[in-house]
Amino acid sequence: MDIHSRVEAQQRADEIRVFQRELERLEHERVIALDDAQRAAIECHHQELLARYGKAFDIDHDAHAKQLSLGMRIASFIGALALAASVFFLFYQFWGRFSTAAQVAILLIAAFGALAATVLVQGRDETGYFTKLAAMVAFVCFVLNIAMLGRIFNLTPTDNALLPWAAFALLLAYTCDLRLLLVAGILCFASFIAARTGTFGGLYWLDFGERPENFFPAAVALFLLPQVVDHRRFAGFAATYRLFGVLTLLLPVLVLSHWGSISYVHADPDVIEGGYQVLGFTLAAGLAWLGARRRWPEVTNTGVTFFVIFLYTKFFDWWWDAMPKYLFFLVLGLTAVLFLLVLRRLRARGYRIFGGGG
Amino acid sequence: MMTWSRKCTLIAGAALILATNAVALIGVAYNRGTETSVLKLSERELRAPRSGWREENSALEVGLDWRVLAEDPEDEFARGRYGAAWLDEPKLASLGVDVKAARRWNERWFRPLPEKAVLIVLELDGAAYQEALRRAQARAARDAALAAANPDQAQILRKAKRAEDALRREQTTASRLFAIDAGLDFASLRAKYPDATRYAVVRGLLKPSRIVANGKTRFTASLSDHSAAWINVPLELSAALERSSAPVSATIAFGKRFEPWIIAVSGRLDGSSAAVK
Repeated sequence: MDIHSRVEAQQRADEIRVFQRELERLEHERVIALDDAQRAAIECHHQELLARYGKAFDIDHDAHAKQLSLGMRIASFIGALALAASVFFLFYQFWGRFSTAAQVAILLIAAFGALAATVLVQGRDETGYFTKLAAMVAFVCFVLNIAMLGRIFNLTPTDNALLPWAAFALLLAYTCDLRLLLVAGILCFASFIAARTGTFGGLYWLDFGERPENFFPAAVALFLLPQVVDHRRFAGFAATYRLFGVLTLLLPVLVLSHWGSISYVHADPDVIEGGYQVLGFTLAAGLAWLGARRRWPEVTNTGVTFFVIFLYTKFFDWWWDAMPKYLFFLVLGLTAVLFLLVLRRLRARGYRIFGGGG
Repeated sequence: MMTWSRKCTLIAGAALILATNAVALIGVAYNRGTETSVLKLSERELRAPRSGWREENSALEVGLDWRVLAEDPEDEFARGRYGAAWLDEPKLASLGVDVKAARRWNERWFRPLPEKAVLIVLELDGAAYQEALRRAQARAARDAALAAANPDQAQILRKAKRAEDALRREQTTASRLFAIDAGLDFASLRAKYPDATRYAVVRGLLKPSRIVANGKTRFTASLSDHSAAWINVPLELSAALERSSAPVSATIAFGKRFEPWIIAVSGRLDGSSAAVK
């Protein structure tokens, strides 16, 4: 079995540890008895695998190391954002002291230098934490590069800038296996599609947020992309695309279900809001079903979450003013209990309606 | 199968950075290849740099302080960019605003009309400014006469003082740069306003709005600039400005893409000046 990423290696190592513990239990309960040769062969194979993964991907060997890794992930995420902000403010602090040619040269050198540093760090960093820091700084340097060219030469703002930013973020995301950069790329790409959709709809590109329907084409593109392009070599990438596809679809629907007047559809806002509420419930339930059927937990969880949000916001509309507050919250609590009962029943039936196993 | 190495990442990333910078800089060269307008502005037409960012931002930027001649001649200040007299419904329709459809919209179904990207004609010290000055003089004269006839009426005296101050402001410090027209085609605007040293064309945004008064509905719009909101002052020129207490004049050119750049600035106190070759 080919292992391409740290996530996959860690998953295999965890499975080996679970297998070892279960084997011990089975032997203790005299369900199975391996002879010494079999035991040695399995142990040797596992040790070899763990050593290989440890060397190639710096995986966690036990639960304690895993906890520390989580801390390192959080630290590298916060550090990446802070370093990116630092680069931004550093340039702002001093750019006025340089001539125009020097400003352009500094921006170019910073973008090239940060990219080279990322590639260099990637070659020496098995953990990926420092690569994430360097890649985030490289992305910010490139964004700063283009944004500051706009300021230096008084360029008219354009949505075209979003495309190279998305391409750069995706390049770093795929080559360094970084989901943080994938999210940055997805946001730039989704904004570009939404801006273009808004332009087709007669809006000035920066106003694309005024009509939430502008995000629908981006949502479809993000959701379908992992179906078209094979992402098995990039652990978690397909799930990230699907998650952002679902968010880009359901968040605008949620907004439109409360503010029908900002829709492209020119009709009674009450009718538009009602239509989007029905659509919201249908989409949320449908996505929860699809996620369970296709084993996409991120889609199921987001679908269920939005279903609850749609339901609670409807409850708020209907009953917040009409009911005493204790009764309102009691209804919310009872609804949550009802939800739990329904989900438990579905689980007990083995997800048959979702096409799951018995 | 070809494997993607770190060298490939470096080459692809560097190519992307280079290509994007090249496109941006070629655009700058194209814009600055031809000056479509050149305005010599005084400090009356230049906005002060943003203050909130000053501590963090070491660069110097100036903004164009332009305004519109309000429809209402009683407007004492006329400093805004809303409700220009010339932005009537036929003009809005010619700029692509669907006023007819908006009129048909049910009151409850009404929604804000979207912003439109347009070209705005800015006039320096022309008929619009003379009209603003004439209005201020007329208001000041009328209110002064009223105050002379009612010397014991505090409210009338205050109004006369305000009108006098407004006139003084209009004569000495108020911007003489007015948005006087808008269109979608540069050639026809330039044909209508051929003097490139008095009329500049800039990219702007037009935000239509609806006014309901006395049971009647009419449409107007506010304007904002978009390509000339803030103009970077290069170090070569900002050094000259910093030797002076206030910028007095700046020569600003607008290129083929209507993007501005400063070609000269001068300060008053030490008479320092600089120009970009």
